[in-house]
Amino acid sequence: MIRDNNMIELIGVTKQFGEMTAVNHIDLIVKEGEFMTFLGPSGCGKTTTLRMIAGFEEPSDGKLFIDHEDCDNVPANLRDVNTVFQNYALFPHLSIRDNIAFGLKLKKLSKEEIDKRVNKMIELIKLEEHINKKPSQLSGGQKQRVAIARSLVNEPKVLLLDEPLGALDLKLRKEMQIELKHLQKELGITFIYVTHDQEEALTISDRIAIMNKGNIEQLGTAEEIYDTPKTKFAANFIGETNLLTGYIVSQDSEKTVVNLHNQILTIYDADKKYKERERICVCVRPENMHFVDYLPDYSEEKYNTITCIYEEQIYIGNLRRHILHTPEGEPVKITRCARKGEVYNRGDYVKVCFSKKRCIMVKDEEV
Amino acid sequence: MKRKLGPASVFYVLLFLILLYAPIVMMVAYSFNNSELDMGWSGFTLRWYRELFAAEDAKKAVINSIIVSGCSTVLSVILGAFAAIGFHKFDFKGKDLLDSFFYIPTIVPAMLLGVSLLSLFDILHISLSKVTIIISHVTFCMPICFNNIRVALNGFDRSIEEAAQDLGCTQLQVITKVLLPNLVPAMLSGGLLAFTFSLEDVLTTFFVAGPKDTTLSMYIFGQMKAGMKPTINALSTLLIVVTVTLGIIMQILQNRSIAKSK
Repeated sequence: MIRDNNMIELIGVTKQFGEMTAVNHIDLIVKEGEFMTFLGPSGCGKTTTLRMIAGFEEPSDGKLFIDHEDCDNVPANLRDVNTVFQNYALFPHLSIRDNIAFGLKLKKLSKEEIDKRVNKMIELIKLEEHINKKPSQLSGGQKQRVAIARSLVNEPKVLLLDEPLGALDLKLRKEMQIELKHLQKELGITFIYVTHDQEEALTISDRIAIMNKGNIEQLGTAEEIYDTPKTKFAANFIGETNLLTGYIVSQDSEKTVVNLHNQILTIYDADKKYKERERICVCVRPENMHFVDYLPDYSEEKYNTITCIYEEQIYIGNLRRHILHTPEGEPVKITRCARKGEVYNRGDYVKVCFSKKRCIMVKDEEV
Repeated sequence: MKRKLGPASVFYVLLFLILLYAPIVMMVAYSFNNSELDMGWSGFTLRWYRELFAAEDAKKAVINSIIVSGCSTVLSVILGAFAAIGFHKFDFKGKDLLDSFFYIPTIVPAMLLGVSLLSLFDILHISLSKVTIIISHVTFCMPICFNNIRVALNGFDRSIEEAAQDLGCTQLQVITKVLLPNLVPAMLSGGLLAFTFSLEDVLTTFFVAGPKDTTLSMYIFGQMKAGMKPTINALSTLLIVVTVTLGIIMQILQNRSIAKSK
């Protein structure tokens, strides 16, 4: 057998609950030591996929391999993966120490070995003074640390995290994200992380799988997904974006010509092949959208220009967000440095532009 | 907004409390009254308690009650726990129907339960003894325990069971290592409730008891036929002390298990 470093392999994995298809024929490979995030709105199948890897759900169809072992009919307690639950799921009747030692005791390790590993873990999560307390005496952040320690102490091949920071407040969540990221790099264990928070996904992941309606819409690094979303859903879900609908006029090897409500645009993106007159969306990130009046190096060769109607501006600390809309009513957002004092009035016709190279196209579809 | 009670309301509440508790207070007081008759106060005495402890048949009744209530409580808790865990873990046909069947013995009038159990034992040719009392008491004590444990299980986070499995527990170990330890408060409070129900039951017991198996409540009931004796006051006072103590313990346990699950 060829030994690659594939830790998790999903081949055509499907899960049906009655009539409803929660996970629809997913193929995915997670590499050893990778931090993979399943990102998507609720009901997209991300948690179900995680639960199938953990062994809490049986796939209706397809194959699942953990470290090259077929997991068909392997119950959760015999899989070398551990799960961190959103609501911590600590054992209320056991002390923190006994919670962490739970898995090792079941493996019947020697007392010295258990003590050694538990102590090391308690040190790692910095909860030395709480080891004899019961879970109910800890705060949310502390409980989550215990839950992570309880899983990691078993040195699993893969750690599965099901929205582990969902119940924490924003500040603590941001701290824990960094902590988790460091912990993962330090231990070199494969992490699979489920979240609906796109910012969290961008912060901590090596790779992100964007899921929607039981499918993986796009798989890639944070940068890849942010800069080159492959579908309208991915473009919309990650970060803010302007989506302008139009259709293809012509395409050659380096550029595509698009008709956007009778304004002809040229886009230097020919990676994806489209048919003539196919309906598409041009995606431009708000930070790549400019006012022609305030762009010193503006030229018609470099920029696509459209006319919009100004609505209002919103001040958000370091940034200022300008809200406009096209004559056809599509919203257009522009983010600018707050210090720059561009002033327009509601109803003004404003020329805005974006670089012909800094935009991409996705197929126009229902999302 | 909480408002203060007006004088009329205070009067009403006081009247209510007096009606509720005066008989009990009177009985406790008369158990220390140095008079054969339940009329007037003629000094403090522990005479009735001494007489009570000297009475052989009273002692026997207490022992019988402890055996009967003890056994039926233990059995009820075990059966109730099994049933509740089964209900929690599995889905099966007729689950709802079975659920409501469990409650019927607790709402059927005790006398009817006694009559029907008596005819059942008669049909099966089981001679009446302590065993038949215990079986009868289990029929109405088990649902109490079952219900108590079931409520505790309903509030129990399923992901805790999954976490146990995830960390290496087999299905059986999930029950022994995680579910049962967390159900101890519910089992104890259910057991205490069952114990008090069993201890005070006269009607059902009356039908199914063997000739030598007089329980405490039956003894008290029997003594009343011969007229109100002060020793009965003493005995009833002791019974009240026991049940109230059990009730308080049960309340504490329940509060603790609620606090724990939060």
